Amino acid sequence: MRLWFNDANESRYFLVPGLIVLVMTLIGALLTAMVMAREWERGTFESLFVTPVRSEEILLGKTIPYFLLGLIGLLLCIVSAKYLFHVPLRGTLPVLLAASMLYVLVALGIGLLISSAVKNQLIASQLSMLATFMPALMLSGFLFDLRSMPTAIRVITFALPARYYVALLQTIFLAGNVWSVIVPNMAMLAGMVALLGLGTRAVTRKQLV
Amino acid sequence: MLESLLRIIALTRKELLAVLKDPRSRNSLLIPAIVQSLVFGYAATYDLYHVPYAVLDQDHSVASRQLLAGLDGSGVFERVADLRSAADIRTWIDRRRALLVVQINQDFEKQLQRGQSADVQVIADGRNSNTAATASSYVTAVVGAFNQRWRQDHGQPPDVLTSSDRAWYNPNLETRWNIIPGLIGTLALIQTLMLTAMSVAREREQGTFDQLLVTPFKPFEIMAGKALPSMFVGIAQATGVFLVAQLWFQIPFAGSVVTLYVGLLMFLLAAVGIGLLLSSVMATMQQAMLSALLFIMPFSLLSGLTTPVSNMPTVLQYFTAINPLMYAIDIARRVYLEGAGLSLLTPDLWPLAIIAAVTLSAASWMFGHRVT
Repeated sequence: MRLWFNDANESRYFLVPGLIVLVMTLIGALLTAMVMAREWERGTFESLFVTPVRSEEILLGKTIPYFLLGLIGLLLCIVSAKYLFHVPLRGTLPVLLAASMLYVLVALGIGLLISSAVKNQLIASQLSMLATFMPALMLSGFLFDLRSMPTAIRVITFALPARYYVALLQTIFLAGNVWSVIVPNMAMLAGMVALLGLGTRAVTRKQLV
Repeated sequence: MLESLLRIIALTRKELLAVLKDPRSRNSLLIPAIVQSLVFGYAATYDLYHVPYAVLDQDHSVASRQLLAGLDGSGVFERVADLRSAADIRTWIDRRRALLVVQINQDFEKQLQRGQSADVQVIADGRNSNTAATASSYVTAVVGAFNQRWRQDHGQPPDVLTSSDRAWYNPNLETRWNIIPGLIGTLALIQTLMLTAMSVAREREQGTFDQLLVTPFKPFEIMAGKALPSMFVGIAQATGVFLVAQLWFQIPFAGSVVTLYVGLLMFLLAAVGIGLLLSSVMATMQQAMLSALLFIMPFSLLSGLTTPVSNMPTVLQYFTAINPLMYAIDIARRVYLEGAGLSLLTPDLWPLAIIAAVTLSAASWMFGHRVT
């Protein structure tokens, strides 16, 4: 009986990458969950309308600062995984960073989309919590094996970005740069970024409600 | 006294209206708890039902085929490939196509016939070492059954010593029996703590909190008026999950519903207390949300929902002493599985009472003393 990638059967080897997924999901989604809703609630969004700023520019302006904040969180996570918990990093750092930046964008996109769609801080906070935290814990394959879930539930997990990021992190940290795992998973995340971006732009058109 | 009570009721009513009148906010509070308990109830299992595995059979003998037939017939293992060489193992595991590879060496049958021990190598994908360990324990069970049959068929003496495990209270060790009672507290905690943390912050942000302070309300009454609506919502959510557990999953319920609700009420008092205390300190909703998150995340990860508290490092075990969810999950599981009564649950109930008393009184003190 041999356990590849984790000879000593250290549970923190799979727990730490899974926790990074949780932390990044929450940081990403909750940082942006309130920003658009707050502007709508306070009525400052209307003032933005009368400026020549285009809605894409508003969205970018709302994304970039939180993206940088998310990156700081990400670096803290990677450093503590490596030096505090001594999880081996068998893949390369650029691949890890690229996958994680993509995921931060997905998480920020979820927050922005919810925030622009519901335009209410109380509901936005509830929805983004619901959409991210427990699903990332229970349905991402971090704790429970995806293959053993009933088909209907497995179908739901395909819609969850956390699922792809868990596969990416577990592989990049423990197995190395296995391109046949990394490429499809990153492609899914990239597709989600595009969808979320389009969706958010559609609900933030400059118009009065 | 009566006037004070009327004021509390009025404020509670106003708060409930504020949250429940908007259909979107009403739906976001009541429906998700039920949907989530259904989905997670199915998702949450440490048992494996589909294990894709590959075989590297270098013996090709009757014995090796018998062993593999045992795996294939188990209903759990699904053979995805017959490998030719040891070099193939890496590709199948690396690419996550097989969770494990069973390798049978060349003279497997010969060694068995001589009555020697023969090795079966199992190579498992340790990226999720929990799943891998469970899957290999299944292999061990199949190999054990094969061993016994082989010895019987070939006139060899059976194993002298066999151990058998029995788990009390949950004889089939169903993960679901453990997770779903735990979800009652967890799902209620996440949304209620968030809701309460936002409640005062929202009034601050909209400037209506100062108006509330100049009314005849005493700080204690404001606190009660904010706490009660959140507790109603929490109880409603917990009831939703409880009904799913009873009616849909039909988890055996050994204890009494009254005991469970007494525990839940104490738990919600503590959770709402923490939320209100946060809310009383924070100035904006965004601050309230992020600070609530800072509590929700460790509370749910260090609660024993998915990993036992007794396995955590000692420092973290001390932290769990102030985690209301840890007590709530313990209460729910013990009421469900052991049928524990109130007297057995006192070690869980009094810490909850202390947390509630400290946080609620601190929150009401803050209401009176922090004017922005």
